[in-house]
Amino acid sequence: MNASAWRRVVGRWWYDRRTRALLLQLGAAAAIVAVAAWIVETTAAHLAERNMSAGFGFLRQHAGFVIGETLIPFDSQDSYLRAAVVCGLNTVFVSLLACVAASILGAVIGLGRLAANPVLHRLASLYVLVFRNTPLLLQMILWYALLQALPPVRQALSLAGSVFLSQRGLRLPALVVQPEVLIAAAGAIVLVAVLVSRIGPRWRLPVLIASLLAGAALFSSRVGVDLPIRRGFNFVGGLEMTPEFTALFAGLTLYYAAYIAEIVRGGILAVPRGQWEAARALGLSAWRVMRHVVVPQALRVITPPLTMEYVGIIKSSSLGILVGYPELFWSVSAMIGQTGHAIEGIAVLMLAYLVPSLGAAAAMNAFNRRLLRTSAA
Amino acid sequence: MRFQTALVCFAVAMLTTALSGEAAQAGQTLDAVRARGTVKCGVNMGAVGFAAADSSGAVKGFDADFCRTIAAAVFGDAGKVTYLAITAASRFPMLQSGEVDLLFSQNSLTFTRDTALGLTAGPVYLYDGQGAMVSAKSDIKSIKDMDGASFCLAPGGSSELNLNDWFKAHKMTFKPIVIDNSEAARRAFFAGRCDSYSGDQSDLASKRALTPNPQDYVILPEIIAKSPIAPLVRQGDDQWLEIVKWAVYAVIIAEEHGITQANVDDELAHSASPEVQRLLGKQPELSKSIGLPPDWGYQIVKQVGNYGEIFERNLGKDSALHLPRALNRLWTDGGLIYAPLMI
Repeated sequence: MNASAWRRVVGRWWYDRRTRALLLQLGAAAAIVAVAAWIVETTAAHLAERNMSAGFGFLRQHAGFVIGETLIPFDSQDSYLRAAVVCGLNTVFVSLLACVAASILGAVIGLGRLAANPVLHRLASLYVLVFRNTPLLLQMILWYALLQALPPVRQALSLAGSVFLSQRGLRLPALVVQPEVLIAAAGAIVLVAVLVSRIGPRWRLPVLIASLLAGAALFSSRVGVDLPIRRGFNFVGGLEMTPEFTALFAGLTLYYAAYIAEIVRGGILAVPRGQWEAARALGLSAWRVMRHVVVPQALRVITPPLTMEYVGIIKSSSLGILVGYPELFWSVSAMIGQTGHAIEGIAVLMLAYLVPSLGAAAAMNAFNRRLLRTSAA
Repeated sequence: MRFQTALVCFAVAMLTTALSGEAAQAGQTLDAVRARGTVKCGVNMGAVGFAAADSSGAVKGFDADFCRTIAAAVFGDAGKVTYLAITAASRFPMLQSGEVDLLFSQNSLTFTRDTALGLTAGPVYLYDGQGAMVSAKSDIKSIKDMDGASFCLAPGGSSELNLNDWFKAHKMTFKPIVIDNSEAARRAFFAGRCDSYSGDQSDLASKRALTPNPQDYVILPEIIAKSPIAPLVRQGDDQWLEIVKWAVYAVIIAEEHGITQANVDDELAHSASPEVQRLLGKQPELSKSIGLPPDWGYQIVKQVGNYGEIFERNLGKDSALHLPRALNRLWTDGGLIYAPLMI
C-alpha cells in the first residue's frame, strides 16, 4: 500500500463521523485511565516512601470497638469490614425512614402552602423559610442539645408505665412476633385483600370487619409485648430510640421536608388550571380531582427533583457522626483513627455512598419512565 | 502548536507533582523548621492543662510547654512555636503529610502508631492510665459495678479499644456513645447522656476542670489500662527524632540535678557537676552531633523549666487539675521519670 492509499484509508476513517467519534472517545477514555493509573501509582509510591502501608488487607483485622446500636449483631472481634457493613445498614435504615417521613411531612406542608386558609398558609411558609435557610448540621446539633435537656433517666417521663422519655432516649413497648407468625399474618392479609376485591361492594365492609376480628382473635395470642423495664443504669427491653438516632432522623426529616414541600407545591402548580376546572366540571369531588387528575400529572414533575432530595438524604446521613449515631461514615472514621489507612477508608466510603445514591437515582428514573409511559398511553 | 504547548505544560505539571512530596530524610525537618522560623507543633487544642489558650490568647499547658522546649532548643526562643489544633482523625495524616513537625497531643503510644503509620515515637513524657469519671450523685464506686452502663468516649483513640477489652475480660457489657467531636462528647457526658466518661485520667481531670462544678464529678481510682503518653514524629528523620528525645530528657536531667528556671544562671556559672555543665552547654562540641546550638539545654531550662516545674504548673498543684505526680515522679523518688546520661 503506497502512501497516498494509506492516507485515503486514514482519511476515510477520520472523515467518517461515527468512526471519528469512536476514535476520539477511545482516546479520551485511554487518557482518563492513564491519569487514574498514574494517580494510584504515585500515591502508592509516596505511601511506600513514607513507610505507610497501603492496601485493603486491614479490613479483615479485628475492629476491637463496639457499636452502640446495630440492626444485626456485631462483636468487637468482628472485622472492620463487618463494622462498615453493620454501620452501612444503619445508614440505609435511617435514610429510608427519613425519606418516608420527609415525603409525608413535605407533602402536607406543600399542600399547606397552597391552602386558602391564611393561618395554614403562613405557618407552612414560615416552616419552609426557617428550615430551608439554616444549616442542617446546626439543626441536628440543636435537636441533640434539646434531647439532652430532657429529664435524667431516674426521673424519666412515663406514660402508663410502658413508655418512657428521658435524656437516654425514648423507650416504647415492642411487639414480639415470631417470623412464622408474621408470614402467616401476611398471607392472611393477602387472602382477605383478594377476597374483598372479588366480592360485591355491598359485602365489602362486613367481610373486612369480620376478617379483622377473626385475625385479631387468631393472632393476638401469638404476639407478645416486650415492655421496657427500669434496671440498673437504664431501661432494658422494649424498643429504644436513642437521642443520637432521633437527632439525626429528626434533622434529616425536618430539613428535607422543607425542600420536598417546595417540590410538591411546584408540581401541583405545574398542573394547568384547565385540568382542575375540567375535572370539577365533570362533577368530581375535591378528593377525586386530586387523586385522579392533579396528583398523577404533578408526580411527573415532582419525581425527578424528589430523587435528588432522596439522594441528598442518604448523603447527609453521614452527618450522624457529629451527633454520635454509628452510621457508615462513623465506622470508617473510627477505622481510619485506629489504623491510619485514610486513603483506603475514604475510597471505601466513596464507593459505599455511590451504590445507594446511584441505586436510588436508578430506581427513581425507572419509576419516572413508567410514569411517562402510562401517562402517554 | 497550541495543543502541543498545552501537552508539554501538562506533562511538566505531572512530573513536578510526581517528584514533589519527598519522604522524610535525616536533617530535612530541622532544615525546614529553621527556614520557616517556627516549629509547627500539633496539639489537642482546648484541653485545659495540656494546650488551651489563656485569657490573653497565649497557648498554655503541658503539651504546649513541651512544644516550647523544642523551639527553645532549635532557636533559643521558646516562643517560636506555631500550635496547630489536631483532631482524632486528622492528627496522624497531618504529621504524615508534613503539616506539623511533631505531635505533642496526649497520644497514647501503641504498637500500631509506632510502627504501621510511618510514624515513630519519642520518649514517654507522661505515665498515665485510663479510667472512668462518673457523677458524684451516682454513688458508683468501681467500674466493676458498671455492667450495662453507657460510656461517652472520644473517637478514634485507644480508649475505646481498652474499655472494650476490659469489659470483655470481666464478662460485662457497656454501651458506647462515640461522638466524632471530643468537645461534643464531653458536653454529652456533662449533660447526663452517659453514665460515665472514659479516657486517660489526666484527660478526665482536664475535662472536669472545664465544668463550672468540678466537685460534682468523681474520677474512679481504678485504672483499666496503662496509657504511656509520647510525642510522635515522622519515620526516616533520625536527627529530628533525636532532638525531640533529648528535649524531653533535658528537662528530666535538669530536675534530677535540681536545676530550675530560677537557678539555671547560677548553676551555669557555679555548678561543679560535669553533667550539669554538659547539659547547659559548657562543652560545645557535644551539641554538634545533634545539630543544635551549644546552649540548647540551657535555653530549654531557662525558658521552659525542668520536668517538675512543667508538671506542677500545668497539671499538678499549681494548676486547676491538681493531679498528683504519682508515676511521674523522678525515679529517685519512686517514680518512672528517668533519663539517659548526658555524656
